[in-house]
Amino acid sequence: MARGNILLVEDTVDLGELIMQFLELEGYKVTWAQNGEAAIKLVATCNPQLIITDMIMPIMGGIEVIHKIRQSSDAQINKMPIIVLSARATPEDEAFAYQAGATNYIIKPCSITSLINAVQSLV
Amino acid sequence: MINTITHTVGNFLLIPKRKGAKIQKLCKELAEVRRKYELLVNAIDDTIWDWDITNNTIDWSDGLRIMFGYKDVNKLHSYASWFENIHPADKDDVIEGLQQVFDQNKVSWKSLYRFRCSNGSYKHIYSRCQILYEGGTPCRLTGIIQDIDERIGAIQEVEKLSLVASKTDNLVIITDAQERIEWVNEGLIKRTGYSMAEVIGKTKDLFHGYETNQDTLRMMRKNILAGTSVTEELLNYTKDGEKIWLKINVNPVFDDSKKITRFISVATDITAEKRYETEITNIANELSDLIENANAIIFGTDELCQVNEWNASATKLIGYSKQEVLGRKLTHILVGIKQRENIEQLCQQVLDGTALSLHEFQIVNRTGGIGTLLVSATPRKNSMGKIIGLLVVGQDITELSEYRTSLETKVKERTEKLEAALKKENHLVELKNQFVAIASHEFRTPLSIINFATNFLGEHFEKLSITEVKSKLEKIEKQVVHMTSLLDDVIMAGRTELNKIPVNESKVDLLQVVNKIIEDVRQATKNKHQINLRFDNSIRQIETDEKLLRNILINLLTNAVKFSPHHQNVNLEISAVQGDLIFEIVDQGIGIPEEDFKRLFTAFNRGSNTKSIAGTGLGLTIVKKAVDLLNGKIEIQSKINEGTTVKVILPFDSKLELNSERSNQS
Repeated sequence: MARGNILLVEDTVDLGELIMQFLELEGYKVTWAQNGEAAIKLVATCNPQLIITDMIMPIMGGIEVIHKIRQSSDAQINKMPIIVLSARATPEDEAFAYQAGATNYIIKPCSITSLINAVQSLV
Repeated sequence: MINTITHTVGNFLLIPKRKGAKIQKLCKELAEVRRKYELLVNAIDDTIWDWDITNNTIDWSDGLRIMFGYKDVNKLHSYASWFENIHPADKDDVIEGLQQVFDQNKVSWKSLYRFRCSNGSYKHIYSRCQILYEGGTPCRLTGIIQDIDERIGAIQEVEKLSLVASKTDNLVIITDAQERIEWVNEGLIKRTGYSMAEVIGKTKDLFHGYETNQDTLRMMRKNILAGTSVTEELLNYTKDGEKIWLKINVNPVFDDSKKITRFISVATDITAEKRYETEITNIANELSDLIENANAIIFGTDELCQVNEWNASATKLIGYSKQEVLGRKLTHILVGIKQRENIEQLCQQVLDGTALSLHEFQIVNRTGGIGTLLVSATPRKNSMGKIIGLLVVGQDITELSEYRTSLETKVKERTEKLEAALKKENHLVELKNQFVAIASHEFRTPLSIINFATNFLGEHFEKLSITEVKSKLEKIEKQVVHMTSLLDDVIMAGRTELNKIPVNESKVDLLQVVNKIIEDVRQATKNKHQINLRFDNSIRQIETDEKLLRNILINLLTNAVKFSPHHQNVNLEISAVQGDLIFEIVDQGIGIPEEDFKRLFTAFNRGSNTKSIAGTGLGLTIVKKAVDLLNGKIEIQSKINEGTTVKVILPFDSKLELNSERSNQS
């Protein structure tokens, strides 16, 4: 039995693969979307308890994903915790993400341990 | 009286006539004497009298009738009748005087007394006579009487005037007709320091000196001799040599026959006024000298704005002499037509009583030259306080103004330069900040992958198959390569900003180079797109800087792929046209918004529609610089959501070796 469902949104294939591998090893069921648009489509079907999203992606970026999730009419979806995993390291970027509704903001590069800890605290 | 004498003589002469020729001769001589006597008597106005004391009779000539109006001279034939007619106040004097003369046996007697006329009035008379004695006793007096009434009247008048004159502070001089001083008053004595004795008999030249105006003197003399009253101001000297200014009024005095008998001069001491006047004149002269020669430009107008003051500095600046501008309208001389109305208004303002302070305006001089004048203007008032014009004091600040303008220009230029430098500096700082932000961002993702991959290997190494370990190591290696190229880009961009790129041209096989580039781009973009090459096979070897060419093509192809996420095809066509080598890269991507065109080649600048697409904003900056270094041109055409066409044109000449074959490769 999986520890929980996680929706991973990441356009960098190598990075996505690695994160997915780790989370699966930790016992989570991971659905991986390569951009925001794909993620929003998957939210309804994969029933995640957590979203981990990158910020800069083609077609739809992380901020828009957060907005869409928070604006959802589905109470289960719009309250969902969202971890932002971003290469944008400025305090302004961080504040911007929190303002949009992010639950946690992790700056790349980070150790896998800190990411797992953040995930475990939410799911 | 003559009749009486004739009668007497006649009686006396009758007897000897009959006595012979001698007597006849005597009679003839007597007649001659008689005739002469009659002529004499008729010739003079005086009254002749003959008093026979022994017989107590007085004979009178006809003068008695003429002088005193007595028709019947017989009434006055006695001593008593004569004495009776002497003025009562003079009687004692006359008798006393006469008695004295008789006592001393003097042969002549003179007397001044008043004698009654037939109408009862008195006349001043001057009587002189010869006295005959018989045995020490006077027996006969013969004399003449002169009417001196007029003369006495005149003297009395003079005495009266003198009294007045002596009491005044004025200086009074009475001269005779020959201008010899007869009398002066106390005032003159006091003021000049001369004594009466020193001046009597002298002419007024006594008071004149070196600085006395001779022309005025001549003119005065000419006028008074002609009988005209004269008033003049004349410099005189005291006995001590002190200068005194006198305002002198000279009046001739006439007798009945209109003959000038004397001159009366009344002079007022105006030395103080004159001194004051001189001082005022000196001050005025000094002031006018000051105005005339002042370094400042000074001019004035009347209440109609017509020039009435114009100093040398004004002449120097404007070019018109004082004579030329007097009476002319100020605004017609000073300023150009355009400014006239404005200046007229200002003049009117001053004439209405508001002074103007430090006003600057442009003047046009005589030759049409333009200058700048800084002026202050004040209204001029007359003694009643009425404004009668204006006075302007100005300064030629043409040079100052020009200097100021040039200074302003210089300051402006410097400021602009400084601002540009500052802007550039700011731009560089901004670039640096962007550089740091973007570089750090672009490095973070590969670093994450490397970190996670090593974490993974570290934690799960024992459980992993060789293939999996290899795969992780490859990922790490790939990210290192990516980061290296990123670093190259950043360094390249930084160097292009600082113009530090050397061009190293060498012979290269263009097709081979291009194929390699396409392969690299395919790999980097994960083979998502089809890059179609259309290559003019006549081009083989060219001489170029391979690194720069690579930079151009890799960036342009990567962009084409990156910015057309929903389309598969990117076309690259390489052709040679009229000495130009043309690279044309065409995509069907998101396009470039029009507003972003002006900053296409600016470092770190990214299109406004590229937010969700990763990039440094350095690609086109590097491309542009590389194209420039190769003396080429770049043209970009784009339409939102339809795609972008980039055309790079590089010079293509003998360096290019042609090949007859043509091929298309995709």
